[in-house]
Amino acid sequence: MLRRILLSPSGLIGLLLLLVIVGMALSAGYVFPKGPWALVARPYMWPGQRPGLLFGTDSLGRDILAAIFYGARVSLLVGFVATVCALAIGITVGAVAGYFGRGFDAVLMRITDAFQTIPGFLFAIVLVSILSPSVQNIVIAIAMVSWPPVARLTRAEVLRVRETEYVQSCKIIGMSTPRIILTQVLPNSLSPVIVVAAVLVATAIITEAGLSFLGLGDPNVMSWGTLINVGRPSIRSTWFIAVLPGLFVILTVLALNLLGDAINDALNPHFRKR
Amino acid sequence: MISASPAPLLDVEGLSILLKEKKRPDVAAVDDVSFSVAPGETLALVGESGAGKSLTALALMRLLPKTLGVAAKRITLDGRDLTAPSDNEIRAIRGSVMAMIFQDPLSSLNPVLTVERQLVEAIRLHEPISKADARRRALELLEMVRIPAAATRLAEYPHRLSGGMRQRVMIAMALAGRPKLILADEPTTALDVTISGQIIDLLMELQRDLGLGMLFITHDLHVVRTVAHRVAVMYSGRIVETGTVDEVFATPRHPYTEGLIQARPHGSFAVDGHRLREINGTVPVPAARPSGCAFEPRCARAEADCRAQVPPLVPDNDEGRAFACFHPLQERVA
Amino acid sequence: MTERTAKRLAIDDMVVEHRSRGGIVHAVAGVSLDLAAGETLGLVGESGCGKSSLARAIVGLNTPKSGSIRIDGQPTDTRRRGAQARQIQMVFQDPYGSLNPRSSVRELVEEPLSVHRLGSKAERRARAKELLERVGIPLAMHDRLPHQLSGGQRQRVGIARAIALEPKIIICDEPVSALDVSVQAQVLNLLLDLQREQDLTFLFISHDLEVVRYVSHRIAVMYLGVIVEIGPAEGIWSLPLHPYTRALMQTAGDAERVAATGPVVKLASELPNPLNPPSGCRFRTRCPLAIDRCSRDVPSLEDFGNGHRVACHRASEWAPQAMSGAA
Ligand SMILES: Nc1ncnc2c1ncn2[C@@H]1O[C@H](COP(=O)(O)OP(=O)(O)OP(=O)(O)O)[C@@H](O)[C@H]1O
Ligand SMILES: Nc1ncnc2c1ncn2[C@@H]1O[C@H](COP(=O)(O)OP(=O)(O)OP(=O)(O)O)[C@@H](O)[C@H]1O
Ligand code: SF4
Ligand code: SF4
Ligand SMILES: [Mg+2]
Ligand SMILES: [Mg+2]
Repeated sequence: MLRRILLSPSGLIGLLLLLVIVGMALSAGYVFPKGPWALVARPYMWPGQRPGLLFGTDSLGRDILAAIFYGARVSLLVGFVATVCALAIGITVGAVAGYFGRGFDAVLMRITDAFQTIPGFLFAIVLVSILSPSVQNIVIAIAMVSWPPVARLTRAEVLRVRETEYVQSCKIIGMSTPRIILTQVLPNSLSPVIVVAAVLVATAIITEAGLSFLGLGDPNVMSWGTLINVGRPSIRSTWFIAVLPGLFVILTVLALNLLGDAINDALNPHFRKR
Repeated sequence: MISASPAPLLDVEGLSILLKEKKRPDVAAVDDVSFSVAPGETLALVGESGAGKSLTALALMRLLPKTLGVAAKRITLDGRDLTAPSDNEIRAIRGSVMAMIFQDPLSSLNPVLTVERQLVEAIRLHEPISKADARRRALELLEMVRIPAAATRLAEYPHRLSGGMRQRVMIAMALAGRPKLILADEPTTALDVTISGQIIDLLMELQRDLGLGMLFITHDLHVVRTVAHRVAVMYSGRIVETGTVDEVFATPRHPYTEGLIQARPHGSFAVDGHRLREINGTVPVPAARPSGCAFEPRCARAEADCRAQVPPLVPDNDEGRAFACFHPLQERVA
Repeated sequence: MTERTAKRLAIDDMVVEHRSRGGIVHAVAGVSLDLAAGETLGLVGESGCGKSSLARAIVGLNTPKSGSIRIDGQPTDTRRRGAQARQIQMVFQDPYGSLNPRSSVRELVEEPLSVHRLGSKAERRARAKELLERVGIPLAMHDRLPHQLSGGQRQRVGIARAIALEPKIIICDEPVSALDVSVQAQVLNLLLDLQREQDLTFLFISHDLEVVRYVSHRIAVMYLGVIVEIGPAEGIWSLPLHPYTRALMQTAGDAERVAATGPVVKLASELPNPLNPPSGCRFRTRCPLAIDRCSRDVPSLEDFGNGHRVACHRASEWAPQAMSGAA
């Protein structure tokens, strides 16, 4: 599986890019021990203007590169945690609705429909403005709007897998229902969900950046969106303040999408070599 | 190959079908196969899954995917040389001289067109007649394949028909161009016993009435006995034995033919407790075919020479009996 | 078959319905069957006549609308699968679909043992090895995944899994239909060897009449959810009495010999819509021998001697005198 992903060019590029960004997030504390908020130089310094300030400084004289390193932490954290929450909700709902059917299915899918009709970004804005803008609330808001597709996908796969003869044969040997769902149905249903998960992480990162850009981000953390927001007023002159973090958002999203494609191809039996 | 009848309708000599693989050398999925079909005659091509039966039929129709290569010493159909036909030649022949019936009619009928539309199109492809005439002929065809209330069935879509009815429509489609040769690839395998019996009866009657030649592909020995005059037994891409149905069933000479006949249940275990004769192992895929006789690893009569060389299909008598085995069974099985 | 007081498996008036888009399908419309220990009952009939529905109800995959199942005289609640699993197991038709693609061969055979917490881990492992060897899977293949096996080998693994819990009864739903002829013989021999060794009772479903004749002590013929004829295998094979059975046998065995024993029945049409079965005798819409009475009265199974029972108003007309005298 991993080999198949690495063998495809998009998978390799995606994985390498993602590793670089994860590396940035992990090493932020060592590379920039003073943190992202420290005023290190004159404001509005262009990239490379002074050695050691590779990306220049922002409107307050903070190191943009440091902000990007620390921003990677926030983006990845929000992206992954929100996705894990969305997967947990979505897979549970989808598995229960798909496996048990009937009443469970009707009620759970009605709820899923309701959530899916809510425009995601607007809902996140509303939720974060009502609650306080903290990383935790942002994660909750994003998870709340991103689980419905996971639930639908899981349900569809579970519906298919539960009718297979190998699941029937587990019923006949007397296996308990939870064990059937956990050991038989879910492992054979989740491959398409993994692909979606990669895209969900990307969407969550964009949503977080968007919220921070609107000033609805957690004021205690430096995120890529915050930095874009800081650079916005002077976009005509010192454009790099907004563009550089924007580039990283794009790179991360690209990496995740490439990876998602590669996983999809690797899982798709039609492309699989026998 | 020697054929009993003077002028065969279809004569195939040395047909090979190559699986082209990127890294490995080409593998012959069908390896140097020769057979012929006379007008009014049914030749059954029988063998287990993966023997190359469908590939053989598809190669004749030139319906193989591009990844497969076809080579033949000679193919003649109704006096025409089809060894290396052009696209135009093949289009002219497909349907009008030679038509094919598939195992799964649903996948070969267009789901969004009515039975009538599809029949009319097929008819007008081969005959320049008016739509009204074509419609009349479509109805005739459905009656010919014994579809009850044929007039009302014309307006149906294929998925609304039962499996047996669909197969009848397929047969009607195949007959639309008034072919002389029918290639039937497991036409009854997907059907129930009773329905399959009906379809076989129908094919046999049509063949008699229209004087069609038929290449009937099946893995069911019982069906072979019912429909065919002659039989060719295929194993792993090669014909291992051929002859008239009566002869081959009464005195199989190739160990595989004998094994295949014996493996089918004949009586009752409950009555006499006899075990079925097994053939050990499984059919090899073309790429893993042994270098000598393909049946050697499973054969009880195998000796050293069987591994060294592929046994050729040698004629045994003047009536087209032939088998490919170095140590054949005796004429009368003791 | 000698009569025993408590049958190994007794199915009484089983009714199974399916809800479908068009309405309710009465897939099994009141079927009663008895199977003795060590006996094979063959069940034949056209596609859609309800064979699998009956089989699945017996193993508890369908909830029957009514009817009861007793094992050795003990009533069994089909919904309590856990308790029943050790008594009844099933072998499926599709050797590709009936094994979890992610489990190794050994895991698949250990699974029933671990579900029922039989033995320690090491003991289960040893037992799985033993079972796999018994069904002819060499040790080198025990760690393979199902897709790395041939169809016949997969079916052997399915059989090892079914006998792991030492059941008394195995429901075989078309166990060899998907296999090549040469492999069919291997699997049939294995099933019959196991039956002899373990005194297993088989309900053997197949559309291949020659296979059913070979394995069965008795044969039951099903049509549109009901049993129309049942009796000793050789009796049904050589002297089918129900018109439907006669039609089946004429397509399978040698038609002439069957024809000599009574009317020739050729089926012209196909199975009627199961949503709306015919009144009276369910076979009457296809029966060339139908009379007025057939649309009014539902024929019940009548004994023609030697346990050969037939549900047809006219069967006595062509049953040999000796047989109908016994009725
Ligand atoms: N398009 C293809 N590409 C590669 N290999 C193929 C292709 N089609 C068939 N084969 C291989 O060629 C061999 C012969 O296949 P073929 O379909 O002719 O068998 P068959 O005798 O018709 O069997 P069956 O009874 O299963 O229909 C098989 O081993 C098959 O895997
Ligand atoms: N889950 C289901 N939902 C609705 N209808 C069903 C379901 N399962 C079976 N049926 C219907 O019940 C009838 C009996 O089906 P069943 O599968 O028992 O037949 P069968 O005799 O096993 O056929 P086959 O030989 O094709 O396996 C058919 O008409 C079928 O369409
Ligand atoms: S040639 Fe040899 S191996 Fe092949 S079938 Fe004959 S005896 Fe067996
Ligand atoms: S009861 Fe009547 S319709 Fe039914 S099988 Fe007998 S003769 Fe035919
Ligand atoms: Mg084929
Ligand atoms: Mg079935």
